[in-house]
Amino acid sequence: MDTAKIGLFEAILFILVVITNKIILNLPKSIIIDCGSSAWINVIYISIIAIIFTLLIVKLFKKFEGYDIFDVSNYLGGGILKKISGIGYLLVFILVAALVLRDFTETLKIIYYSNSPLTFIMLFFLIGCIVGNKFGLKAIAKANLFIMPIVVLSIFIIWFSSFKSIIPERIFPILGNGVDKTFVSGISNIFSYSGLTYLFLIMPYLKDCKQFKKISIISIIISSIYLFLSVITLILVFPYIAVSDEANSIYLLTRSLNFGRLFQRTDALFILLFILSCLSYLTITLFIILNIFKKITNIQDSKAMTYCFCVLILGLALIPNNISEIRTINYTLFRYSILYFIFGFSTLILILANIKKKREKLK
Amino acid sequence: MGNKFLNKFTNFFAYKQPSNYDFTLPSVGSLADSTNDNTYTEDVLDPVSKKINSSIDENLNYIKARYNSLINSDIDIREFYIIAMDKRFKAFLIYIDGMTNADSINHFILKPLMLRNKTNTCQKKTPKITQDSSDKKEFSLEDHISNCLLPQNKVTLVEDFSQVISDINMGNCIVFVDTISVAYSVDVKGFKQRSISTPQNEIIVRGSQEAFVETLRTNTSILRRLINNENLIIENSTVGKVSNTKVAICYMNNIANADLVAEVQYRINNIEVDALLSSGQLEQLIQDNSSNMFPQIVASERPDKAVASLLDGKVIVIVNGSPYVLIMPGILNDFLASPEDVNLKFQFSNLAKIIRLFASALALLLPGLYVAITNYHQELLPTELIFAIAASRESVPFPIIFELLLMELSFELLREAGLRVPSPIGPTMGIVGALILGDAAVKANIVSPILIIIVALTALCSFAIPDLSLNFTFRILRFVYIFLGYIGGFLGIGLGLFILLLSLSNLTSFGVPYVMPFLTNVNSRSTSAYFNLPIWAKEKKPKFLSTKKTESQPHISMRWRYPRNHID
Amino acid sequence: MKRKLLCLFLILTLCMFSLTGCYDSKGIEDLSYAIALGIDKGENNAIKLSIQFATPSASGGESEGSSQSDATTITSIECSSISSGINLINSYISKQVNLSHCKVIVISEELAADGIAEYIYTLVDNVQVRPDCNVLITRCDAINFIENAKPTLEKLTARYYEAALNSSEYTAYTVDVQLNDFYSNLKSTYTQPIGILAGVNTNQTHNSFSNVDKFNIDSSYKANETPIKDKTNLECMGLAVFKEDKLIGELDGMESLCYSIVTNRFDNCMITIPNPISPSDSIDIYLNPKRDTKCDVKMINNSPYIDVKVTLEGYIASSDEVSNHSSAKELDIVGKTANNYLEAQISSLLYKTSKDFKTDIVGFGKYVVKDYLTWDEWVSSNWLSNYQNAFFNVEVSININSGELFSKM
Repeated sequence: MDTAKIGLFEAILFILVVITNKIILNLPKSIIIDCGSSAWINVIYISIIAIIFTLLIVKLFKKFEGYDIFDVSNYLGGGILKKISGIGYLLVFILVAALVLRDFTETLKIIYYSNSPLTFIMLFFLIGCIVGNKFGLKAIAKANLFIMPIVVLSIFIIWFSSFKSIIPERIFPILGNGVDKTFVSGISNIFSYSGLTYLFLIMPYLKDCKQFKKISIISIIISSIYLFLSVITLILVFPYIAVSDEANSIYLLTRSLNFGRLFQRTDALFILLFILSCLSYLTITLFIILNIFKKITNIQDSKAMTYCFCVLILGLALIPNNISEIRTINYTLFRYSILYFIFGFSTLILILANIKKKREKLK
Repeated sequence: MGNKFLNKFTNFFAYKQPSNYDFTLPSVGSLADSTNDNTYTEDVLDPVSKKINSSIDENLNYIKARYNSLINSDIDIREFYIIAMDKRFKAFLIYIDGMTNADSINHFILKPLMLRNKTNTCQKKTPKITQDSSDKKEFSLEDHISNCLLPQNKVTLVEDFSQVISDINMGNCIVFVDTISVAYSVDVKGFKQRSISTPQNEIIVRGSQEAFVETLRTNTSILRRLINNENLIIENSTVGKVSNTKVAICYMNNIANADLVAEVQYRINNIEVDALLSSGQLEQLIQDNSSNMFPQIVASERPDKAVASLLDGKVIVIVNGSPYVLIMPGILNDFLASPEDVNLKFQFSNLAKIIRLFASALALLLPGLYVAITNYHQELLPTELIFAIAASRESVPFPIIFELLLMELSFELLREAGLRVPSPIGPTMGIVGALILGDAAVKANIVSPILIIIVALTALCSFAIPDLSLNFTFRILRFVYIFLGYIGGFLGIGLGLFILLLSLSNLTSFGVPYVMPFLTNVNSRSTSAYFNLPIWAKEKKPKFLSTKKTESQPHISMRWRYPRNHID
Repeated sequence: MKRKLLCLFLILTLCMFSLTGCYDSKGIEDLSYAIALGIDKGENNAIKLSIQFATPSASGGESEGSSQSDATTITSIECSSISSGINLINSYISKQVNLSHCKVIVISEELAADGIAEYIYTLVDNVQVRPDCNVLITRCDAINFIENAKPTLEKLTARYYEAALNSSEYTAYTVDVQLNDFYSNLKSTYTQPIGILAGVNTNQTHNSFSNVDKFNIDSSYKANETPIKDKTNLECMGLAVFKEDKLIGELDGMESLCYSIVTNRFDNCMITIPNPISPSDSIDIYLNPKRDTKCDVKMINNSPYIDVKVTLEGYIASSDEVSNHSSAKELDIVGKTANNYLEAQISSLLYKTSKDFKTDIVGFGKYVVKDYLTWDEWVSSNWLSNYQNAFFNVEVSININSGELFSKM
């Protein structure tokens, strides 16, 4: 079906869409709750780890040009390992899609659509996903290419226009909730870079596999700059962020913006952009789900499964009872599943596959 | 019946084999291997000016090669024998159909040369009556033909082919005769200039004021007149089993991508219809994606626009009987561009382009946003404005959505009816309709004044879109956005925008991506960017067309300013 | 056929959406926009909630559209909380209350003294309420204040509220306190909230005012004390000082001016100082900020020692026949007098907050926090209660320039 390939910019934005949506969906807040005013140090710390990790992945993939993680596991352990890793990834991505869908829907419901049923709001997103996946990779990547720069820019605008409410002294006390919170238990915040998972999968879609290194590094660096900016802005603007429990911190930031007397409440415009960004993210996730499914079942055209997976995601998204349950799942199950599965399991497969390749060469 | 419906319903979700017709232009990289001209080169076959040979066959072959006369439909070569001094010489003449006067050629070239008459049957080596002593020199065939056999007011002898070709392109008829190494360039120009009228729908201020007409040959002659270059190929084809409509495919042989040309030919030659009456029909028959509303082929009545596209490497199709030519591939930029842009300084045209971009966004979204904001996001508006809207709506009985649809529909009605109104009362009717209807509606408290502003602004914006088809597309989509804004506020509008973006991203026109075609390969200093560059900076042909020639002018085009700098 | 059915299906879905779907769609005409929210102490119930609605009306005839009269209407209700009060009002009036264009939140002094955290939290939590609406603390009843909001220079009451409070930018007699400022100060561990002090000015109220400071008289009024005669009676002057969520004191115009200077929140203002050359007269000086005020906090014996350095630029606004404001010497003398005067005023304000009110409204806490490494250490140091032990050293340097057009050369 999709023989289409994506270029450099499209691939970078493909990965960047993850971090953008996480920032919109209150990721910085969770880091700040963990670390207090030292969250920015924590972000630098985990960013360095993530960049090192990215370099490692790039190096490990060097011998497997054009492969994704499933091809590598196929090479290492045959069909069984491929299916195991495939199902693992499939579950993670379905979980991600459902959580993002529910989380964003709940946010929207709080802000504007307090009387609408959840399914009604979700339907908008799912329709977008289905249409996107009917069009295929090229359209998705290109639409993302249009949307992401605008969203990224809008978030930058939010940060820079909240400049006047910044009090620099708010980064103190410098160590926030303590050294161990920042550096030891804070390491689990690396799940913010769950965009890294795409690195394991993106290779077969690239026009030029030699650009893999460039794509990985550029996207991870932009992601970290982005995360750092969002965290530090939130710390500097909201003194209460570490102690209070508000729904969506970026949205709160947009509420406090005003550009003169004419535009006092521009938050709705930003919400429009966030909706676009979330639509794009969900569409990409669904695309990846479909392709993983295609890969492990060897069906010819996975487009037919679009509806099935949409219904699955919708059902899964409706399971939690309230928003705090989602947050709990997000910060426990999801955090550790990403941590162990992506950073542990996948890397292990890659390392083993590299060893196997080396041995074969020796023989 | 119910069962049938159920079947259809399940069919909607069922798996369908994808049946995509996939045509993509080869990427530029692969093309660069086949052609090695990355630098600017003069586009002539051999730079040294070739002299006319005395062997007629050689001349004939050369001319045929230069003009691709086998495929070029309007290049006419007539081979014949002339009779001069009772001898038969092989000869041929060449001219471009549509640029010459056929009567002149028949009566004053072919007739005296071919038919027996007194002058050419003369047997003797010298003329009978020579009173002038200077005329006693050696008799030559060369002079004999020009002096005695071509009863034309302007006959020049030309010796090299560059002159021959430029004369042909100008509309002269060139006569070659065996054994002599000159050709006769006979001025038989005959353009149909009177019948060409000014453009009706693409009106501009500073550009040319001529438009294509219905006759195919006249249209090709207009193109020939504007591009005096033998690389312009005009191929003929017919479409329609009953109507046998003549269709001309025009392209620059040394610029346009061969695959693109082949694809256009393939599509046109594989149309099974009974009749083809206009280029609008042909457009629908050969476009890539027939379910997408966005126009994928530019239709223009302006020769200057067509010529500019030809020189960019696009292909033009002229349909006999239709004053609109089709320019393909068409990307979104082309539909937002006005032919005026190239005539103005780049600052002026870019301002106009920004306004047009802004206008098209408003034309598409304004009513939808109004519905979304007033129904869902009231806090977005400044307090004074929302109170003004609330005050103006105080005694309006309808909800905003109904009010808006009412006004939009009546506006569309006005637009449609305005077309049919006999032209003397047309403008009056428009003003009467718009002013009286709007004013009366406000007075009668059927609609609020703010809404009239919204509808009027939208209408104004939609007229700023240069292309008719795009205008139609936006008109339809506008209603979709009104609806989406009504059911979901910004969520609906967001979904609408997302799907619009997806479908635009998915669209290709003759293998060229419809939006941002140059994103994946950087296309700086090209003629195709949305915002106009200064004219001296337009150095490259659009990359997405994978043209044979990549440069349109050298790095330094104003040689008078930098006479010593060389391109290295 | 398939296509037809697909269209039918789509149309049906869309119809389903449009008939049942527009859950949250509310037309402008279905909502009544509150422009001010007043909270008083209730007589029989916890609070008395008053909402001022804009009643935009086109009065018909020729001048429609432009003639939104200043008509507002006030609905007042006794209730247990803001949300239930709004709910009750909803059941009473014909339209639904919408707070998205609410410009001011007016709270009576009486209620504020009991603590208003609950109401502030409720309002901040409400999506409709703008975070930038102003918080006013009235010296009279909130409903009384709202009722007297009859703008003379403006047509629209909502705009009047906005414009009236903007004057703090050039007078500095009060501070533009917004809801989110109030909330974040309330939540903060560095600082304490303030509110705008407002009142209804009548003959009675401003006759009761008495002051001994001769020079300071123009700026030492609090809201409702200024001897002014105008159709509009509303006055915003001074600040309401909170300790946590309870009102514990008031600052007059001069003190708010000093507060603005210390917190770098003013653009320009005017002070009146005794004329050092002819002691019976006074000089008016326009002040502009030159550099940000520098504060430095040292802990000496566990009690904070606070250094405040103010750098300003001044222009002499008044002129008389005696003084020569263009001579450097005289300017120097005037500058010194102004420095001393302002130093005295600022330290009196700071000591007032520290000793009388025992609340750090200036937010000196933020200069201390960098000395602590972790959040727990900082919280346990308990800055806010330690503030009452503070000592202040205020240094003011005003660079005086001579006046405007007629500077004697």
